[in-house]
Amino acid sequence: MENQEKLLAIIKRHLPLGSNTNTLDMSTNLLKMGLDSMATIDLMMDIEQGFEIELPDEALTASAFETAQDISAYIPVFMDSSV
Amino acid sequence: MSIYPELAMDNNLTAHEKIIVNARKVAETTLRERACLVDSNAHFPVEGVKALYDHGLMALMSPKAYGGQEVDLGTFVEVASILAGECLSTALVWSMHSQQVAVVAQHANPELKEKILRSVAERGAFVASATTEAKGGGHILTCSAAAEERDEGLHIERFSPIVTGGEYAEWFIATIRTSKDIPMNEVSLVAIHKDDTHLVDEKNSWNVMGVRGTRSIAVQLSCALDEGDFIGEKGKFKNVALNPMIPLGHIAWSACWYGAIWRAYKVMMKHLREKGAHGGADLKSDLIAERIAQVRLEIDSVKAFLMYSVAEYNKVLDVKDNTYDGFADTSFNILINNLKVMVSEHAFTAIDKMVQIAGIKTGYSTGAHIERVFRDLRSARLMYANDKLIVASGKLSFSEKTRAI
Repeated sequence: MENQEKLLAIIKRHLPLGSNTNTLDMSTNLLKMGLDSMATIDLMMDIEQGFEIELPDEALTASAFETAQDISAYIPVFMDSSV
Repeated sequence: MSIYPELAMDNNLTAHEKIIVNARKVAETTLRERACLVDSNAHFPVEGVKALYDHGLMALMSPKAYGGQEVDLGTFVEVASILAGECLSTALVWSMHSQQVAVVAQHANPELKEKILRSVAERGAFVASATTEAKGGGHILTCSAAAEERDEGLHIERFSPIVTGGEYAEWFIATIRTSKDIPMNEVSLVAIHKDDTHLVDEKNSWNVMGVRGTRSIAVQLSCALDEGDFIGEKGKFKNVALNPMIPLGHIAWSACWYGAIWRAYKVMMKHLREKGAHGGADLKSDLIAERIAQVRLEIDSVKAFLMYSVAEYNKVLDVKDNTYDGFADTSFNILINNLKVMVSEHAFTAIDKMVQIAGIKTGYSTGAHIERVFRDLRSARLMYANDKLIVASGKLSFSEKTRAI
């Protein structure tokens, strides 16, 4: 749960002002929340910094950033079921 | 029998050659004759657009099924360069219209295509772009203008501060949101007829340094929308923007800027030789030779990048793999951004050097060809500002799939 909260907190910082972030969870469609392509790149870099990882090439697509769940598939700490 | 009164009909010419003959004819007659007037009066090039229609060039990017010429990108670029050689304002107006025609041809539903593309082929209707917003900063992938539900259906009120040729357009291709409750990046594209618009530039404030004939004015769009007015999928304007709107737009502008400097270079060289022949400039001096070579280097660099970008665009078109969308590819988008940035900067550097070589009378006096092109090309870095594109390309570079090196 701690990593989920950490990931959602990072995502919240990149959503447009005025977004209803109270409803944000792992399955929320981030595009529908207003995450644009430039903000996605900033988000990607913050995730890399926050989790001290380097996302693989496969994660550099719009579909990989559709939901927090999709992103988490590329973050090693989420691959451990104890998260 | 062609519907275009002046279309070259020599049967010995190929379709491509006929188009080029017609483009040269329009450029060397109407555009050459009107360029100074269009510039000095800051008038929309009405006569130039009429000549382009008469020669079948307003529907160059429209499918043959709708009365168009359906040309490839190389032909489009060649025509844009030829027109821009005589009047950059007219060439830019025409190229932006052609860009919108291509968008309609590729993404509109059959009924809308019939209405818009037929009006282009049969009357030379001008199609304008209305994607700017007062607070948008020119970022076309987001939009604050939102439609609202009324008793009669969806209604849009949209203010566009900069619409090239807005006074003369029959159709406006505009970005909107279908509701104020959806995110700014969920943008849709719609077609709006001129009867549903009014001009708000009552003070006639269009008075700029260069490309004065483009007459980019403010327009208020106000109308009911139905399903048939949408171009492409609702909320998925990005797909239209990536293919073909943005790449075609940057390539078209770059082709115009290249055409403008190439023709200015020829004007300058003719002037130098005439001057030399009459005991003026010392054409054998190393200084003149070096300066001319520097100009030529700028022009050839611009041409090389333009041709390379056209080749890359065609390569993306040729990919048959349905799982790969080359137009959405990060590397391709960086290339297209860089094309616009590179050509706009180097074209201006080239014309600046030409002013220096040609001197006060031929290069810097009002009414001189080179002086007009100098003012015109200063706009190139401002149109969809380079600063914004450079930042976008820099950020995109972090999402480019080059990590596994």
